[in-house]
Amino acid sequence: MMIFWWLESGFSIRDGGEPWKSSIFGFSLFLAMIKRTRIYLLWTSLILLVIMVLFYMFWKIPWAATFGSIGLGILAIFLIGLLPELIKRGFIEKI
Amino acid sequence: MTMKHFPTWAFFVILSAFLTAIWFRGGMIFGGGDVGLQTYNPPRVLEIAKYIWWEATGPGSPVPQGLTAVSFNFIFSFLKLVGFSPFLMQASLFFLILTFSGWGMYRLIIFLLEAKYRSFALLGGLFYLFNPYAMVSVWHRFVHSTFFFMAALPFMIIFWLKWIRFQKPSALLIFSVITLLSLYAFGTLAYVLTLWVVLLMLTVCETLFPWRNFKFALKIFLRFIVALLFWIVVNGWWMVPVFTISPALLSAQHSNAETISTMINLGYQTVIPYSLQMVNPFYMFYQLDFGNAYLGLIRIFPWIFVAFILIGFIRALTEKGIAYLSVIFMAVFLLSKGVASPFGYPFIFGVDRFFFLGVLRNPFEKIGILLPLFGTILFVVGLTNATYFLKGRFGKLPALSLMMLALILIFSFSYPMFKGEIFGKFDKPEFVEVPASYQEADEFIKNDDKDKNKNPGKILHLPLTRRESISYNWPAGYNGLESSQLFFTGLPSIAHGFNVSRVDNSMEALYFAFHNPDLINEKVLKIFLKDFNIRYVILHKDVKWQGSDVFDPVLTESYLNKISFLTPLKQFGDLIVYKISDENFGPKITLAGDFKWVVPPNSSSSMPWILDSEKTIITPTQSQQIPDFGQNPAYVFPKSSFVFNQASSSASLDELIRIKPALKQNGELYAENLVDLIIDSNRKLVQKDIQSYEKDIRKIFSSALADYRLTVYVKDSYLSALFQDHLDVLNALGEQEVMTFLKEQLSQNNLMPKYKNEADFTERSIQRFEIGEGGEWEILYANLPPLKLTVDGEDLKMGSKVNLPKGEHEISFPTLYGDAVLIDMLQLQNNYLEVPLKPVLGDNVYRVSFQAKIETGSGFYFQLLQDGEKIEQFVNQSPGAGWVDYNFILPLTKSAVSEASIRFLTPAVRNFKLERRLQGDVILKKAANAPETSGDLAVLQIDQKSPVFYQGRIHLDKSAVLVFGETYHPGWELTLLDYGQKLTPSTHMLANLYANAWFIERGGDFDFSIYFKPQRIVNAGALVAMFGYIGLAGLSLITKKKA
Repeated sequence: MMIFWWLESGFSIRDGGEPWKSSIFGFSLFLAMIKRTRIYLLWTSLILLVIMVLFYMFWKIPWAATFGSIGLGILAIFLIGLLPELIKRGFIEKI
Repeated sequence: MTMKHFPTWAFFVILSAFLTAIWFRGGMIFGGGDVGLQTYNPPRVLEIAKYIWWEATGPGSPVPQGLTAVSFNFIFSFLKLVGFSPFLMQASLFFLILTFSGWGMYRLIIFLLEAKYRSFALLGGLFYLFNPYAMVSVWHRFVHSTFFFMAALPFMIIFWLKWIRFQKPSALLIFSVITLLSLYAFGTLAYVLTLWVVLLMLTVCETLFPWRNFKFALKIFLRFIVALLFWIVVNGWWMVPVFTISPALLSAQHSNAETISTMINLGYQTVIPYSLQMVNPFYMFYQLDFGNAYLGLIRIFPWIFVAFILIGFIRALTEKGIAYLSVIFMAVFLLSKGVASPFGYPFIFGVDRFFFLGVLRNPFEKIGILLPLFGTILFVVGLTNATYFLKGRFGKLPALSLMMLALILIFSFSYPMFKGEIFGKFDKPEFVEVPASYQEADEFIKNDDKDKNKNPGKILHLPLTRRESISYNWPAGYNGLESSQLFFTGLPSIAHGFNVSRVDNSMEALYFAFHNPDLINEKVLKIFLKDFNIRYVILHKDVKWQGSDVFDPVLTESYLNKISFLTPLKQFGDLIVYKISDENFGPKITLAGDFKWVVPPNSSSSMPWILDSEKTIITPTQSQQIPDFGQNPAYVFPKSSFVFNQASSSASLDELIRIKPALKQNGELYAENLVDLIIDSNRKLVQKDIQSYEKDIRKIFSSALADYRLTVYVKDSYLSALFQDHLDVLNALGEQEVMTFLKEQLSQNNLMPKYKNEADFTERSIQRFEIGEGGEWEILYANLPPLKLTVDGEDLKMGSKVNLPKGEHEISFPTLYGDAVLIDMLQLQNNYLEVPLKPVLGDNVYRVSFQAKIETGSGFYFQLLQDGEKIEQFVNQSPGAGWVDYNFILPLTKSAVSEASIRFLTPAVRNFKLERRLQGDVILKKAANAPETSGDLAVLQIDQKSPVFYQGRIHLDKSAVLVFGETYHPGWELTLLDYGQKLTPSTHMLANLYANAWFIERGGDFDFSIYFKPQRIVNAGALVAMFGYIGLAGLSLITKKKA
C-alpha cells in the first residue's frame, strides 16, 4: 500500500483521495497474486472504465478521472499479476 | 516490396495524394506556431544548419539540434533546385509523411501479427493515420519532428526486431539509415529517449516473454548493446554537440520548479478519460480548434476505438508471440499520461532529481506518440477477434457490418482532416503568404552590400522582440516563430530574443535606445550599433505590436527618421530599409588597447549609460584572472537590487492563504509546499514552539526563495512584511540566534537589507555589489541624480569617493520619484476621467495619490491602460465618506509601452498627483592607475570563410584585446600566428556585454584565425558516421554472401 501511495503522490495528500486509492490498489495487488480472484480484478477495472465513460459523456470530468484512475490502476495491477505466467509461457493460457 | 503488397501501397499513395490535395487547395503554405516556416526555404536552412553555430540568427548562437535538420533540408534543396515552390515542397513533405505512416503501419502489422490478422492490416494503417492522437497531437499540433517520428517508427521497429531476432547486419544497417533519413525527428531531443525506451521495451520483452535461458538473454542483450553503440557512433556527429551544449542552454531557460509546474498543469489534460482515448482536450475542447462538433455525441466514437483496443489488449495476452504487445501498451500508457493519476508521482520525483528528464515535461506529446503505434496493433487484434466472433456466431453480414462501422467511425471522427481544417482553427487555417516585398528587400540588400565576406555586418530588424515569436499583418496573417533568417539571406538578422537573459538584455537595451531620445543621445546609439556590427536596419511596419513586448512601429519610424547617421534607402511594401553610413559602421573584428572593465547591470535599463565613451567594454567571465586590471578603469554595477519597506504585517499571511488554491490549480508544487511551510512556521511561532519554528525556517530557506516560484504569485513585499513580523516576535521572545539566522536569510533573498536602520521608515532602494579588489572607489549615478547614500550601514559623508575592501557591499538610498504630474481637479471626458502617463517606456513604476468621492455604490474602479490593455482595480468606499485619500504604486506590466494612462470610472477625483519612480543604478568606479598607452592597432584584413571560421591579419604596437562580434561562447577560439609561431590567447572574455574578446599580451604582426571549436566534433563525427555506415554495409554484404 505504501508503494502505491508513493507512486500516487510521494506520500503526500493532494486531492485527499490518495490513502483510499492506495488501499484499493494494495488490496488489488493482493488479489492479483491469487489466480482465482484475478478475473474479478479485470471485470472490476472494466466496469470502472465503463462508469468513467458515462461520467465523461456528461462532462463530469473529475468523477470520470477518479473512476478512470482506479480502473486503469487495477488493470495495470491485474497485468502485474499475470507477469509470472507471461515469463514462464510467453502468454496466458486462461485469464 | 513484393507485388502482393503493391495494391495496398498504391492505396496509401492515392489516399495521401487526395488528402494533400484537400489540404493545399488554397495554394498557400501552412506555418506559424513554434514551428515557423520549416519548408519555406530548405537551401537556406541547410546553409545555416550544417554549422553548429547559427550566425544567421544574430548576434549568433549555438543550435546543435539544428544539425538534425540537415538530411531533410539536403533532400528538399533538390526540390527547390528543380523549381518547387515553398507550397509544393510542403505539400510533397506532407504527402510523403502520410504515405509512409499508413504504409509503415500496414507493414508492421503484417510483420508482427499472424496470418488471420493480416487482412485487417489495411484498417490498421488507416487507424494509424486517422486516430485522435494523429489528428490532434501530430497534424494539428504541427510539430514537424513528430511528423517524421510518426512515419519512421513502424519501419524502425520492423528492422529493429529483425536485428534482435535474427542478428542480421543488413537489418541494423537499414534501421540506422531510417534514423538518418528521419533525423529531423530528433530535433525534439526527447524523441531520442522515446525511441530507445521503446526499443529497450521490445528487447526486454523478446528476452522475457517467455524466458528461455540466461544464454539467450545475454545474446539478445549483447545485440541491443551492439546496436546502441553503433547508433551512437553513426549519430555522434550531432548527438555529442547536442548533449554537451543543450543542458547548459536548457538550464538557462527552465528551472525544475517551472518544469514540474508545467508537468502538473499538463497532467490535468492527461487524466485517464482524456489520455485513454488519446485525445488532447486543450485543442479539442478548451480552445475548440475544430469547432463545437466535438462537444456533441461524436465524443463517443473514440470510446469505441478504446473498446476494440481493450479487447485486443486482453486477447493479445492469451496469444503466443503477441502477449508482450499488451505489456508494452500498458507501460507506454502509464508513461504517456505523465503525472496524472494513477502512479504519476515518479515523474515529479525524477524531474526533481535529474534535471535532464525535463525534456519529458510534456510526456503525452513526447512519449504519447507510441500510444497510436501500439494502440493500432491492439485495435487490429481487437477488431479482428470481434469480427471473427460475430462471423462465428451470426454469419458474415454482421461481421462485415462491424468492419464497415469501424471504418466509418475512423473516417468520421477525423473529418477535419478530410475538410482541410486540420491546421490552425477550423474557421481560420494557418495559411501563410509571405509578402513579395521580403524577397525584394533581401535582393536589394544583397546587391547593395558588396563586401559581405571582407567586412561582414548584420541587419537589425525593428521592432525587436525579446521573445522567439512574432505576429505579422500579412494577407493571410502570421503568428509564430520569428524567421527573418529565412527571408534575409545576405546578412545575419538580429530579430528576436534567445531566452538567455544576458544576450536578451543587451539586445533589449539596443532596441530601447531608439525609443528613449531624452536619455540616450545619438553618440550612444552610434556606439551601440557599432558594437553590434549593424550595417542595415529594417523597420517592419507589418508587425502586430499590440499585446506584445514591442513598440508601435510608427513610433519607431518617427525616431529612426530623426537619426542623422541612418539613411532610409528604400521602402518595399511595409518594410523600410535603412543603412548605417560607412564611417559609423563597426566591423565585426576590432582591436582595443584601452578599455574599461565592467561588471554589468542585470537589466537593460542602465546599459546605455556604460556606452558614454567609445571605449570597449570588457567583462571577465567567471573565475578568470583579470590581466592588467589596474591599467584600465573598472565599473561595477549592482549584482542585485530591490526596494524595501520597513513594515511588519501579519496580513501577508492572509494573502498567502488566499493564493494557495491558485498555486494548486497552476501546479506550482514547490510554491504550494513553501506556503504550507510558512503557514506552519507562523503557527509554531504563535505557539512559541521555537525549536520547531527554527526547523521550518531552515527548511524554508534551504533553497533560494526565487527557486520556488512563489514570488511569481505573491509580491516580495508581502513576504518581507510577514518575516519582519516574525522578527518582531522573535525579538520580543529574546530568541537572538534564530533572529540572526532569519535576518541573514532575508538579506540573502533580497527581502531585507543587510544593514537596516530600525528608525527609518522610508521606502529605500537597496543595491548590492561584489568587488574583486579593495581600495578607493568613486560613486557614480546611472539615470539618477546624486543622492544621499548609506554604504554598508554608514551614512556616506559628502564626497563621491569611498574606501571599500574586497567583497560584498550594500548601498541604499531613499527611493526617488520624479516627473510629477499634479492636477487639482480631473475633468470628466466621455464618462471617465483620464490622465496620460508621460514619459512612458516600459517596466515603469508610478506612484499615484489622489482624493476621491462617490455618491452611490460601494466603491469605484480605476484602470491602468497600457497600449489598449486594461488592468482594473476596485477601491472600496462608502458613499457618505466624503473626500478620501488614496495612494497606490502602479507598475506597468509590459516591457515596451507606447502609450499609457490612468482612467477613473465615475467618482470625482481631486488633488491628483502622479510620479514616476526613478529607476537607475549606483555605480562604483575605480580609476585606472596608469596612463593610457599609445601605439597603433589595426585590423588589416578580415576574411570570413564560414559562419564558424574567420581569418585575417592584425597589427599591434602594444597589448590589446581583440573583439569578435558574435555572441560570447567558450567554444570560440582565437589562434595567432607570428611568423610560424602559434599563440592561443587563453584569456577569453565578454565584450560589449554580448561579444567575445581575447587579451593579446604583446604587440606584433599576426595572422589570426577564429574558429568555433565544437564544429570539429561535427566534422569528425560525420566522418566516423560515414565509415560506420560503409563498414556495416560491407559486413552486411559479406554476411549475405556467406549465407
